[in-house]
Amino acid sequence: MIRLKSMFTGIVIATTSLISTNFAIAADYPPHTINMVAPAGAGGGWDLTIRTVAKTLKDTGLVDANMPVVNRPGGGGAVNLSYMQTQSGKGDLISVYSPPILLTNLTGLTQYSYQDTTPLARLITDYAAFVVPENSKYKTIKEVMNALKQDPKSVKIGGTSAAGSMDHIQFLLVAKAAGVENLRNIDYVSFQNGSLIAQALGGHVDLISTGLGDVAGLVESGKLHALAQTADKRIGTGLIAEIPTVKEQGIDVIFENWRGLFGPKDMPKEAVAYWHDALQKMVATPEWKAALKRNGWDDAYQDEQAFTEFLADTNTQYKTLIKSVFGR
Amino acid sequence: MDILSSLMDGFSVALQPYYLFLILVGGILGTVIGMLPGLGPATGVAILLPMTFSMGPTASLITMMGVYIGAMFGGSRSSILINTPGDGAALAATFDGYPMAMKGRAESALAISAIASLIGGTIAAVLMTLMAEPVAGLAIKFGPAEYCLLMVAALSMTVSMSKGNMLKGFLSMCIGLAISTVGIDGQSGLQRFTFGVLELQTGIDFLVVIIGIYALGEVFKSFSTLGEGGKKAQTKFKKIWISKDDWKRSKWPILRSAPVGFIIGALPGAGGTMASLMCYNNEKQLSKNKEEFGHGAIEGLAAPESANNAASIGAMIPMLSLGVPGSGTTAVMMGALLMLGIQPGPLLFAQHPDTAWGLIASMFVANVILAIVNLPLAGVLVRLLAIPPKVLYPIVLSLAFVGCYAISASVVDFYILIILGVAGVLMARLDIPTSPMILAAIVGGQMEQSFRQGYRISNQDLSAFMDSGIAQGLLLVTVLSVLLPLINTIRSKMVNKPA
Amino acid sequence: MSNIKSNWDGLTGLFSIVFGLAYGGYAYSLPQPMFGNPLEAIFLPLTVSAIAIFIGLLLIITGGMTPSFAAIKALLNESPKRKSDRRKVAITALLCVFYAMLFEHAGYVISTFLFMFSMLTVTCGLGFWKKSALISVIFAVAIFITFNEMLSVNLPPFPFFN
Repeated sequence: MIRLKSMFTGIVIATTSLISTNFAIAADYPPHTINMVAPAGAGGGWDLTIRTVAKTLKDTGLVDANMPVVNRPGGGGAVNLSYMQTQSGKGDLISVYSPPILLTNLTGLTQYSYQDTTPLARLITDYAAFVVPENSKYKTIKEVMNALKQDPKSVKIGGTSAAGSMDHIQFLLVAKAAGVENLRNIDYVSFQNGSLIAQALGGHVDLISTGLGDVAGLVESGKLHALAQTADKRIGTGLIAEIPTVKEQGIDVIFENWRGLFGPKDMPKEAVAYWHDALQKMVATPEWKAALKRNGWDDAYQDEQAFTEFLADTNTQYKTLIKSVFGR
Repeated sequence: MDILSSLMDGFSVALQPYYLFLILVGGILGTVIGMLPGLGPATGVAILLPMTFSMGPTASLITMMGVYIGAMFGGSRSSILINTPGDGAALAATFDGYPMAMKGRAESALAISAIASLIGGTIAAVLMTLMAEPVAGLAIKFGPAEYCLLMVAALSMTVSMSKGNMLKGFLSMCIGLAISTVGIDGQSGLQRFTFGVLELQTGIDFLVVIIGIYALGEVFKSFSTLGEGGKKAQTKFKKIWISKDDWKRSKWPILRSAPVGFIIGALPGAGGTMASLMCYNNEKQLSKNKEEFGHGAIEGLAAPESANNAASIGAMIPMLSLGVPGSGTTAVMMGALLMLGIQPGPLLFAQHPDTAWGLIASMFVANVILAIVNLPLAGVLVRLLAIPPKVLYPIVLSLAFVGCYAISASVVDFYILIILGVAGVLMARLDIPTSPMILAAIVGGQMEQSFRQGYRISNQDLSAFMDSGIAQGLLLVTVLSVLLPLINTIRSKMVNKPA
Repeated sequence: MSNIKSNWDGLTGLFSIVFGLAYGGYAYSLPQPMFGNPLEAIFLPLTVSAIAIFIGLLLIITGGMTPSFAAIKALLNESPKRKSDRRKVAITALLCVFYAMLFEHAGYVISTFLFMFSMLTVTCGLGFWKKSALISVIFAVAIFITFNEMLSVNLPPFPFFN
């Protein structure tokens, strides 16, 4: 009986001390553990980015907290976005996102948007690439656009994401800037089982809309021909640097597949300041620079203020496009 | 001759003691990961990826090869012993492997599975050495039309051969197809049958269907046999080996299934699951002991085991010779190659011959090593059957849940799992076969999507689905797979009538 | 189950029709997609629903409803042993649902321990509670360590410790 009683008091003491340490942690940032969330499964772009960030911060000693990587996939990131609403006001959750955080909201898949988070920093970017099979009759992106103006069904566009999502939207953005009308009538074909590039090699689709990083190797080997990319300047070396931008061909638009970090809505001020500092230092380290090079990422750092403005501008741009395509 | 000398160079790399050791360690880790439900070769390779980076490209790739082939060997262990496939490719091993274990022939089942895997993998590695280029050329000829017809062929084979009532087989297929339509539809961006649940937007993973029907369903069903009279824990164990008669029956199925598995594996997106199911059905069609299939026919285990290992090697072809990942696992491996500064694709063999040929040679070596490791390992694993069912079943249940969480990291899938487990019991009660449902859930999504891709690309012209020779061939297979069983039934009725 | 042939064909047929109607009805009521031919997205669901209804009708016609009523009667008059088996299945399913509800809140180790322990109690009885508790603890902790530490697949950790 006595033993039981002392055990009970022990538990009470342990619990109260735990609660009190919780309070202590909340006062000074960073806490003991910060969850780094990839809103998708292991192995994808989001997952790779957040793991690289966590590793770099740990290796360089910039952040001293435990940073376990958590995968919370589903709904193209929307599942995690809903979860983040329940963590509003907290500072121990950092999540990575890219354009789909805007697109899923604008196309009505989720009610939440970037405004329901605290943007912390933009880190890297990739660009869209429009690629045709080696023996395609199209030599420039202009020719493709002209063919589409004549007959929107004449060029079949392939992509990995579902209709109305990123690969589709990035092409429509360029087509709109090139003056193609009837955007909704352009046939977009989604290949979600990973066979997209093989379909292009076999000539089963006319053009694929994808990320430059995904096809760089095949473009270098000459098996696929890249008509254009959507950066504001030439990038890379060798054959990649020979890919013209859409701007050079008189289509005035850029598309960036940026990736950035977000905290929950109403993140405490000291947490935001802490991450501003830590991330600004991180992007200057040789470790981060090496990671960029290894993964073929383009540095696109913006701090939280510039990033928030950027998000607002981009959101308006997508909104206009989606309105003209979807009519809502 | 050139190929032979290059391969010899490859062996001189792969046979160095250090690399042999890496294959062994990778292989054992892979086997263990492969056995856990929900964790297959893709997860295995992804998990071990960071550890291999410091080793340099060749060592890293060879370790991943060990993990990959190890997971393929391991996947079927849990299919045979607890009716819970480690991943999709091991699904077909439950059809006859588990009944064999129930009959007290677990030792032979585990042995034939290792032997068939070894032979299938080795044949595929030979084919890969000799014919990587032409097979890669064939793989890119598969457009949406060909994929669609391939899926239709696979589906019609299973449904037409489902045990018992054909009508109920079709009903089962309908339910499976309905499951495959849940989620965001790729071609239109529409949310179908998601009931507003965010987690359902990405669809229901077919592995969840398999684990639900097999693992949970099996446990639920077994309650009636838990008490007296039913299945008892096995107490005596024989040597892990097969009899002469077993070998005579399995020999041809193993040899036939390897090339078929290899080619299906080489198609991006088709993979080991399809390969093993199609080979299982082939053998059932060709076998003289059709009735025994599904009740512990050894050839019904040997064929898919040979096919799925051959397919896993075939899946390397699009990656190595085209630079296109053909499966989840090869996508992870390709990411690793890129990080190591090696660009897979047409130029690989010219730019990095030692790595490329070392990798191919390590496929041969890994198959042999794993077969040797797996026989004694099976001797340990088979002791699982010594655990009394009343203890084993709760463990199986918990493993099913943790596997499910490893796939999707979401509790929503737990509820789906439970619903499917109960459905499995009800379906058994109503004599509805479950395999058409599972196959439809696996191929249904891709069948529908490729149909609509082809339909859109051809501007709504259905005749485009029969343009190519491959498409016509697949159509012929489909028609035959429906007609042959019909003719067989009619013939056997005619023979029986006079008597 | 002696003279009257009992089978479930009729009832299965009924289920098939209900399933077909519900599934097809939902498919039909889906909103218009933004891209492509609006019928494309519901073509397969409508076909599946039509096949299911057709099969249902065939099953009812060939099987008839009477054998199904006989089967239900047989089910109600089953031996007490099989009834208790069915109750065990229901309890297990319920336990699974509780497990799912608890999983993310209580963390992997705690929820799995409770689940395993109650499952083992269902199969082995309360008499073996010490053994059951031991097996449950070992299993839960071993799996947690394997997945979180060795495989870096993150299962929900302990609550309160963050």
